[in-house]
This record gives sequence, structure tokens and C-alpha cells, in this order.
Amino acid sequence: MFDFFLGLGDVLTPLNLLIMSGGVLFGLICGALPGVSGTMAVVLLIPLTYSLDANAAFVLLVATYIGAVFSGSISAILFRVPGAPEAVATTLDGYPMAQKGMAGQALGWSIAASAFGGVFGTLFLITISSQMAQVALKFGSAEYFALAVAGISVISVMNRGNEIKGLICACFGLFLATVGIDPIMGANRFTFGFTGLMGGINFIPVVTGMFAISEVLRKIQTEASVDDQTLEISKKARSALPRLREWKGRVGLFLRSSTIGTLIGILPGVGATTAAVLSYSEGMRWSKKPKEWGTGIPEGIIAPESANNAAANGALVPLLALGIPGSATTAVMLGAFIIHGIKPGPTLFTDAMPVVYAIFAASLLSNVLILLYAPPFIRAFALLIRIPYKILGPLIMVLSVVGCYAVRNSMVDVWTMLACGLLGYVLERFNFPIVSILLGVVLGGLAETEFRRALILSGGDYFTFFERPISAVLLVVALGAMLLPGVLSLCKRLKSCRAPKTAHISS
Amino acid sequence: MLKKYKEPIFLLVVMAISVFMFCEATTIHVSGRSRNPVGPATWPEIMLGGMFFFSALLFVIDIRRIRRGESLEAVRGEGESADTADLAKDKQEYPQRGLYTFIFLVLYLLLLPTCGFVLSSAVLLFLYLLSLRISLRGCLLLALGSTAVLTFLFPHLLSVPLPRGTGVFQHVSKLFY
Repeated sequence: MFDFFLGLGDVLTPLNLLIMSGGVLFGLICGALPGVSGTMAVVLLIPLTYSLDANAAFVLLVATYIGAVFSGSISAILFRVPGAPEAVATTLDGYPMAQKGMAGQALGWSIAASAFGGVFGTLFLITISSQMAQVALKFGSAEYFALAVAGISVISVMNRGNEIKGLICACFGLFLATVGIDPIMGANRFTFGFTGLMGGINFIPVVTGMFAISEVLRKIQTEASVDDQTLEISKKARSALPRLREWKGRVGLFLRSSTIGTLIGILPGVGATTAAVLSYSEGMRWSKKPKEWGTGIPEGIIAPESANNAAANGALVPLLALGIPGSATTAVMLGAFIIHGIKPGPTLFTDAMPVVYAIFAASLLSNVLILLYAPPFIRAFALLIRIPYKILGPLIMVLSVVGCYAVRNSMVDVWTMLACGLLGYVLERFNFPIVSILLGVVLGGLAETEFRRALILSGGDYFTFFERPISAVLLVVALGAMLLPGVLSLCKRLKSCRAPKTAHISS
Repeated sequence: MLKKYKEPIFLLVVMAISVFMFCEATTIHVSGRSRNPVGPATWPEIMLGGMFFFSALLFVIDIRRIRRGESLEAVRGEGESADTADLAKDKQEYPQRGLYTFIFLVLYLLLLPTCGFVLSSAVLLFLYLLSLRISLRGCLLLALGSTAVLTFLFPHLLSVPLPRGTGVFQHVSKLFY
């Protein structure tokens, strides 16, 4: 702990504080722009770090990443366009909440959840990073597959009363995730000769199309959205941090989501986006009112936002403790370590202790800075919604096109966005839950690859998923959650069938 | 009459797509497939099979409901989120705007690789905003302003490349980024 305070002292110099502030602000701007992810923001700053000493360099990179992960939620809440991939799940409840005229509260909950998740993840990082990294290494293909299934299983809770449509959408999402070159055997799947499809369908164009473009297509046709409604929303789009009494009954969700986020962040290759989606689905599963999720409730923002910020910190655990980059951003940071002549891994804590604790301290302070910087930033950003929708709609579309193009510099992604936009528009007209497609696309790649890998490793033995304790528990919980609503409704039907008969007999 | 069968018709389209894709999946081939317990086609085949099965199930349910004289609109509602339920309430007072938006997007995507970002954005955004009955001055200001802001933000500030176009358009784009 003494070392941590030494690191904190290093970070609290005027120059480092200035660098950290700049990093958080730059991250906030990048994260709010669709197509510019936290990873990209960190990559852009790498050349700047050449001239800085190691401590200052990592303060800048960590602050930028944390700022970007948070601000992806701003455009997700206000415009239904996730600014960063990590904010995909925030759209589900954030945007409906803004539409109810509660944009300020939605943004306030997003700030609170991000800061809470970030601080939770950092404290976890400081206390038991090396031990957890060892546990993460025990995760094999069967466990990863079970994790994905647990996430997908929430469709049964999510679409109660509309289960068949939810299942159709989930199958479609899982199918979309298979387009491109097969990651195990290299076979071309559903590319129809387009080289642009070989890399697969990225989920950013899918989400942007299904949520943003379909929304523009819908809203641009309505009169109410042009003036009155948007003006009403914009007036209330000042972040209102939740009061202490509003936290009552939600602390458990904060803690659970942050724990899920941190644990998933530690697992190499899973990432903050999956953490946010899984946390959203678990939040809904454990909720007493699962039907309210997706209608615009604070819980739907707390779950993904706490998780994605906690996961951003969790991803640093395997990098620092083992030298394994768990995500794209930590892979970039690994490069930064090498540039500064530092070798991450088990020896890092003895060889470069000041840098490690400077990272911990910067991570903690950046989350505090978010609480300070986010409200004025949001106020400036929210001015955009005062613009009538017939002007704002076209601007959102151009920004979405640029954002999707920027993901891989590919026009295929932009066409995918348009196709998904039209599909989303049609599906919403027929009341298909497009959220299930999102779940399928985000978790599909992980589920299929790890399922097949586990079977190859076990020589085709399907029991391998139930022989390993972690995967067995996860699968049993997931299957139970999927089947339980069906069994319960069957029991209800049987009861109601018997009741009139017995009444008839007794009479 | 046809309005009543809108959803079953849509489900038929979903079934047709899943059958087509399933046939496509059966053509996926790789050497050494036999050594692996699950090949590259198995997972998509399961998903497409599921899509077909559930669409067919819903199709049968819908047809039975229509024959019994139940409205599909009335059957919905309880299992939907507020977001999707709100859609029904939206009045499409300007349906032509939706068409303009679609035409704008298709033209924009077609022109983007050839004419580059600056020209296609400025010109098409101007025409599109004009079609939405915004004043000429407003259209000009918005089209040029937003193109200038995005050009400054993405290629200059963030080093994110945008399409430059081909031939003479490429030279024009190079003047800006």
C-alpha cells in the first residue's frame, strides 16, 4: 500500500495532473465520436509519449482510455448511436430514458456507474491483480463457450411474451457472426465472392445500422420529433448526478456489475463490450422486474456502464501481471511498454514498480476526473439535440457513415450499416426485438470458436463442457434460465386447464 | 386483406432466406474436415435451421390466429419493450422523407468511393436538406459546415482516413486532406 501512495505522489505533480486532464478530455472527445474507439485514441497518442518519461506516458494513455470508455455512452443515450463499442448495451435503456425526457438522469447514472466501475476495477487491480491473473489462465475453451451461452440465455428473460421472435433474432445474430473466414479452418463462409466480407461482419456497422439508421428513418417521417419533443429532451439533457437516496436498492447492482466487468476484463480476448452485454443480461436476469428492462430504467444503464469501465481496468491485470494483452488497447499499451524499455510480466512489479503504481494511481484519479469533467462536456454535447430532427437526422447519418468507414476503412462496412438499418426498420415495424440480434452478433464469434476448439481439444467428447466445474456450473445456470420460463408457463397452463375441470366435477 | 397477412408474408421471406443460406452452408468445404468433430458449416447450419424452425412455428401460430379472427396487433403488446410498442403510435406524417433519406443514403454510398468524401458529402447533403424544405442558406451552411468540421476532425485531427475518390476527384480531395 505504501508503494501505491508513492505512485500517487508521482502522479500528483502539476505536469502529470495536466497530462492526465488532457488525456481524459481527449478520451471524452474521441469516445463521443462514433468510429473512434478508445483503442484508436490510445494509438493516436503513442507518438506523443516518445518525448515523455515512462510515468507521464502511461498516465496519459490510461487517462485517455478511461475517458473514451465512459464517453461512448453520451451519444448512445442522446442519439442511439454508440460512440464506442463498449457503449452498445447502454443504448438499450439510455435512449428510451432520454426519449421519456430523462436524458439528464440517464447521463447522470452513466457518469456515476462509470466512475464506480472504474474505481472498483482499479481497487481490484491494486489488491489482487497477480492472483487473479493466475485464475484467468485456467479458463479454457469450454469455460469461454459456457460464458457466451450464459450471456445468450438471457433472451428468454428479455423477450418474455415475444420469445419466438426473440429466438429468430438471436439465431440470425449468431448466424451473422459466422460470415467471413472461419477462424479455425480458414474456410470462406457466406462471402459470395466479396473480399470485403472475408474479415467478417463487424458489429459496429450492425449496431449503428439497426439502432441509429433505423431510428433516423423512423423519426424523420414524424412531425413530433422535429420540434417539440427534441426541444423538451434537450432542456433536460444536463447531467443530474443521482442523489444518495436514489442509490438505495441499486448498490447490489453496482457491485455485481462491476465484479462481472472486472472478472471478464481479466480474461484475455473477451473485452469490455462483451462484459457490458453480459452484465446487462445478468442484471436483467437477477432483476425483480425484468420486463421493465429496455423501457428506459436506470438499472439498464448502471449494469453495462459499471461493467465496461471495470473491464477496462480488469484488462490491465493480465498485461501487468503476465505480460499478456487481454484486449486491443492493452496490446497497444504493450507496445508502449516496449518503447519505454519496460518488460511487462511477473518481474514488472520488482523491475518497474514506480510505473506500475503510477498506472494504478492514474487509473483511480482519471475516474475521479470523469466526475468533474463529464457534466460540462455533456452540457456542450447536449446542445446538439436542440437542433430540429430534420437537420440533426442527416448529420447523424453522415457521422454514422464516417464512423462505420473508420472502423476498417472499408465501404463494405458502410453498406452493411445501410442494409442493417433497413432491416432494423422493418424488424421494428414487425415488433422483432433487435436487441437479440445484437446479443447474437457480439457473443456469436466467441461461442462458436470456443465450442469448436473445446471439441477439437477433447477429441469430439461433448461431455467436456460438463466435466470442467466452471463451465458445468455456467451451462447449468444458463440452461436453467432458458428453460425455466417455459416450464413455469407450461405449469400455469396445466393448472388453468385442470381448474375448470375440477370445478365442473365438484359442481 | 393483404394487410392482415403482412407478418406471415414477412415470415415466409425469412424462411426463404434461411433455406437459401442453409443450401449455401452445405457448399462450404475445407480439406481435413473429417479430422474435426465440428466443421465450419455446422454452426451456421444449426443457426439457420433454428431460424427456419422458429419462423415456421410463428407462421403457423399467426395463420391460426388470423383464421380465428384475432388481430395480430392485439396479440402483440404484452411481450414487447416500450421502445417497440411506441413504434405503433408514431404517425408517419411525412412518409416521403423516409424515401428521400433512403435515396440519399444509397446515392451517398455509391458516390463516396468515386467522388470522395468532401464532394459527395457537400453536394448530396445540400440536395437532401433542400428536399426536407430547409432554406437555401441553411442548406448551404449546414452542408459545407458539417463537411468542413468532419474533414478537420477525422483526417486532420484524428488521422482517420476518409475516402478520397478516384481520378480528378482524388486530386480535388487531396487539396483538403
